[in-house]
Amino acid sequence: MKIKDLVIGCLFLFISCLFFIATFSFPTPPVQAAGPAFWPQIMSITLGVFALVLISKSIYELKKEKKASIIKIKKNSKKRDTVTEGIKRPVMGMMATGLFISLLHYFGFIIGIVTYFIIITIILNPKYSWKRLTLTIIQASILIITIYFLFGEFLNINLPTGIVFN
Amino acid sequence: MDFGMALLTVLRPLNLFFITIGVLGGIVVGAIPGLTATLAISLLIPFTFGMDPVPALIMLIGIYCGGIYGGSITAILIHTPGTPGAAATVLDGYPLAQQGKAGKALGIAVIASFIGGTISAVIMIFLSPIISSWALKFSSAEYFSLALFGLTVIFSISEKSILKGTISGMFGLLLSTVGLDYIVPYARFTFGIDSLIIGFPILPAIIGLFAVTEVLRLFEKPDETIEVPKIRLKGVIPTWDETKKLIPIYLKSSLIGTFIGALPGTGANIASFISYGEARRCSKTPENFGTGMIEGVAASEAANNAVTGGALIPMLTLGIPGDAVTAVLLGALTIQGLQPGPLLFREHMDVINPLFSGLIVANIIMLLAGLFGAMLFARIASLKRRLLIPLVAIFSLLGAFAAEGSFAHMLIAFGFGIVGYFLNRNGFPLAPIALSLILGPIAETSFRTALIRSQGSISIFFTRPISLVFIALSILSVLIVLIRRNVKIFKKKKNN
Repeated sequence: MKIKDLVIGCLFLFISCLFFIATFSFPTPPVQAAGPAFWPQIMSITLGVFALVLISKSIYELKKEKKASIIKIKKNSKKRDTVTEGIKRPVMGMMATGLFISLLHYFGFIIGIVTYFIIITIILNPKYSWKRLTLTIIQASILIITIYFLFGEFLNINLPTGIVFN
Repeated sequence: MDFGMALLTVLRPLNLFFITIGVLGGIVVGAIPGLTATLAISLLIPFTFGMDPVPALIMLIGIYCGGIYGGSITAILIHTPGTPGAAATVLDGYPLAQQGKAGKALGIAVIASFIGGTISAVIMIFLSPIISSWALKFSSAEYFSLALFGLTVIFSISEKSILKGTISGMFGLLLSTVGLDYIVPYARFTFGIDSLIIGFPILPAIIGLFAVTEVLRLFEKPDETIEVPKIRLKGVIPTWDETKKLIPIYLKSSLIGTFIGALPGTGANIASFISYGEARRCSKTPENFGTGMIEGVAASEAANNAVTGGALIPMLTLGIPGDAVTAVLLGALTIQGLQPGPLLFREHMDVINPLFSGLIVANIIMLLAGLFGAMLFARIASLKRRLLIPLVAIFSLLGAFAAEGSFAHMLIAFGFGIVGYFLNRNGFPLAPIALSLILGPIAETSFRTALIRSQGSISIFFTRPISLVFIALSILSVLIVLIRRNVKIFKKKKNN
């Protein structure tokens, strides 16, 4: 956990530096006490300071952890495996969601929703059967009809139709 | 539009339909552990874009009410609070269910929620115009101090780590500077991306932070299911003797809940625990609390639903959201072209009055739904996560797209979702980011405008009495959080 804090602390430090450096190119109106760069500079410096505190806290606690026994390290490595295992599905979910957005953009919400439903079913249940797949397609179709009539027709909401079909 | 007319507007069939849908939907979402009213509202806001302001807002208010109450159903039946606000309800609600009195516990929970919600709505109706007319005197200096006070909420909602909460808040404040400067027309931090000229729009950012993040979290444990026992509810309506005993608790807890709800950074969980503690302190048999006392359920539920009216007061009158739900509701008002703050009460009473009466009607619908359908809601809440994941994902992304028909907004929601997921996974709270995105532009613009007015002197913030009071309150609220935290650490060390 401390290593993760260290990494995130470094990321925030990087972001704060990036924003701070970017403010150098901002114009400075002569009559104003605080120009467009003033507020972001204060915010980026404050974020940078807190990121540094997080980094030093993580380094200090990592050093303390080093003193722990080998058995403890072994236990921790086991824990780390579980952590990596837990993130597998969310990362796959992120990829599927990214694909869903592309499908919505190019092919519209009908193809997008059906494909997304099928991919999610496979991610969540790798031992899927044809019966389950058929059920998924039926569920997706019901959802598409509901979305079309409820949001598209009743509430006049824009639904993505896809650039291919436009 | 006077209050009577507003009530008639809310009672029109279509408005009644939307508010009922909101309440019922809110109860179901609230009953599902892990899903909150914040998520439900952020999912539905974009779909209210094409609606008139009154039905749109009363539906969202309905979700808010239903969502807070819904958490008590699973708290009583399966020992798992659906929302953090129902955590204190578990203490006596679940033992009552185990004694075969689940019906009684559910009945008292919904009656208490109704009384708490209605009393807080009445207080809100009377207090809001007074506060808003006072706030009309605010200049940029007062607005900056007020925004600063609102930002101190970050400290109190950073449950586990103040450092991580502060970093989240500062990150949100930095992101709020992206886009065109409000005073000098200059595009900041766009890094060559045209769609960033208008900055990060609030709505997709909120959808990403609360809904997309939740979808990714659900992916971690998709097999978790809620097992609701099959029981027949008996004695849902309390007897007259029980009611007489509970009336003082209902009233006191409602007042506690309303007061705590109006304080930025508190919320339903704090209100319910304080109220529960107070009921226990005043009881003749405090030792029986935790073993199935109806007073415990009544105190907790009246207080957590009373938070709804209380929390709406600063949001509507000053434009300062006190927590994540009101931050999202503020986004809902903005999308309808309404700017929360004192001017709202001068220019849009045609929306404000129906909103007030809508809150009372929502509480009545919640009472009826809770008395007659608690078990049904519990059954619906046991919906499989495998189906819930694609549903929430599709609704959230289509929602981000719907408001302006923009794929850039969908990508922003997705981006915020990924960032939110990784930050949340590592203990960084997300509500500070949302609050900072909303309050950041108010704070910056009013700070710089005040400096222009004072020709660069910061004394303007300390010489104006109201501004000085808000600055003092900001310092005080930070100090209280730090002292409370240090006392907790000290006690922990002492116990070890």
